[in-house]
Amino acid sequence: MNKAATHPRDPDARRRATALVVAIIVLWPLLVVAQFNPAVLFDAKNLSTMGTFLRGFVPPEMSAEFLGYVARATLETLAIATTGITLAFFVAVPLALAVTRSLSVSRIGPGPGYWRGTVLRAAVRSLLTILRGVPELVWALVFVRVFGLGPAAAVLALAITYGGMLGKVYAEILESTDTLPARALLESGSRQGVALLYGLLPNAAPEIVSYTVYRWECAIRASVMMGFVGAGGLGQLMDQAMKLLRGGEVVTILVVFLLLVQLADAISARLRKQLA
Amino acid sequence: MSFQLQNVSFVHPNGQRALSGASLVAQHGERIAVIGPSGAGKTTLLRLLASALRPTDGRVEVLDLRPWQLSAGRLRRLRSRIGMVHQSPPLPPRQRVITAILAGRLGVWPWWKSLLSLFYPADIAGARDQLARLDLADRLFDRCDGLSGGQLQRVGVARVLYQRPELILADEPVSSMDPALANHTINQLVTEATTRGVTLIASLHAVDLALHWFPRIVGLKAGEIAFDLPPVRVTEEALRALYASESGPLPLHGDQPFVLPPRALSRDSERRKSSCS
Repeated sequence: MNKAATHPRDPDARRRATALVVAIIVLWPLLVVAQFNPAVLFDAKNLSTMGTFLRGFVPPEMSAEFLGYVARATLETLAIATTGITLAFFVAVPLALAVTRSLSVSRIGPGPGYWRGTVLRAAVRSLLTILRGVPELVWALVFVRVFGLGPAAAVLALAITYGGMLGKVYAEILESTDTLPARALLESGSRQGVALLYGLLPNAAPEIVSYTVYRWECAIRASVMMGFVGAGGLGQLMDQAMKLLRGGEVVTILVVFLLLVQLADAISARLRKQLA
Repeated sequence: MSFQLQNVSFVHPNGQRALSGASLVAQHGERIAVIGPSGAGKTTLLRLLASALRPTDGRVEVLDLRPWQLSAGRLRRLRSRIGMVHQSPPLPPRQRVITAILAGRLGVWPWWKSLLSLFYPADIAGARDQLARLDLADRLFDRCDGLSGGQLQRVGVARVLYQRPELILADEPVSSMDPALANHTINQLVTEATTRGVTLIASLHAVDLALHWFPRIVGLKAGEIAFDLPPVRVTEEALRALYASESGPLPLHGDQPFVLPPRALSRDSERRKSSCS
């Protein structure tokens, strides 16, 4: 009797082992290139530098005047993030609809317009790559030149980069949920958008909502970064505090950040629960 | 003519041949049962008629149109005239039953009506009427994930009844139901087809249901049409030959012993008289 028959083997084992070895071979040189060396963190001189920097953080700045500035800047940051993500949403939805394969009528059969559809999907897919390929900070720098200092630049930068990100991820979420309901609707003559609403969204809505809220949270952080290049909000305030070496103010702003992230998390949990 | 298949073959992209050289013609208002063992090509045959699959070879004509010669818009309109009951109903678990049934008309509703119907159901009474025919009206506002397999199949049937298609295709529509319910559900499909004079073609794993309800039986085996006969002429030998690849007794839905010749035709004509009068 041969050995294979008595001890059945997993035919995929070799492929998995190869993938693991390849991953290690690829990752190791990357760590070296990134100059990742944890020992530097614990070097005595570096520790004392860090200590001085952190000591400047206490006590947090709590004067009424400064808190007033922070409140105004927080509102501005929230406005930038929310407007930016809303615009991004309207950029993303049509693009996601165009690239989602499971919503393609011409793929059934394939039917008329199959090649046109395939070319269109490839084109929109690369458009999405271009939109999100350029970091929002770069867009913000460009738009600050155009619109001058202020939130408008940050909003547009978010709409472009986040539109690209949302579009890509929406399409991937839609393709990873059960696509049979939408397919059945297309096969009985529904239009694309309607098949999305009746066939895919009931399954995909919680994931889409939670990803969108998570992106809103990211947009809050990003709008802070863009504040450093003059696009307003908490970032601009933080930039000034850093330049003037006012650690207390920096720490107050950081606490506000944490609260905002907590808020986003709570909203996301709440919405997911409602849609479950 | 309701549909016509001429020497139609279908080969799956993986090279598996599901149907070879099948020819089948149906006039408007005919009722046809397709029987045969698993993997005989029953689903493929129905999906070809639904213009959801494009034949590898041969000619398909549905409702006097050749689907694969049509423009995208006309193909969409043709598809909206064909109703398909799926064996495992493709319904999103979070969707409510009412939405799932109203979705039957998405092919004919203007887009704004489909959109508004998500905020407030556009035709509650219409959906309830169809669901009531299948004894499930009390579940109208429940979510699909709260329903059993047999109940979901009935929602799938209700959707197609609500769609009011000119060609009803049913792919093992009662496979998850108990005998009494299966009988009742097939009865509703048959009633719908006869009262509106539309064509019904159903694949059934249960031979007894097929012989009882359908005046024309098509036996499918290994992708080829083995026979195409009225039920009185379907012999036990023909059935045994059809199911030779499956061990055990003939697949039936009820647990009564299988009796030949079936009373299908006589019972059927009585019933037809009563429903048409």
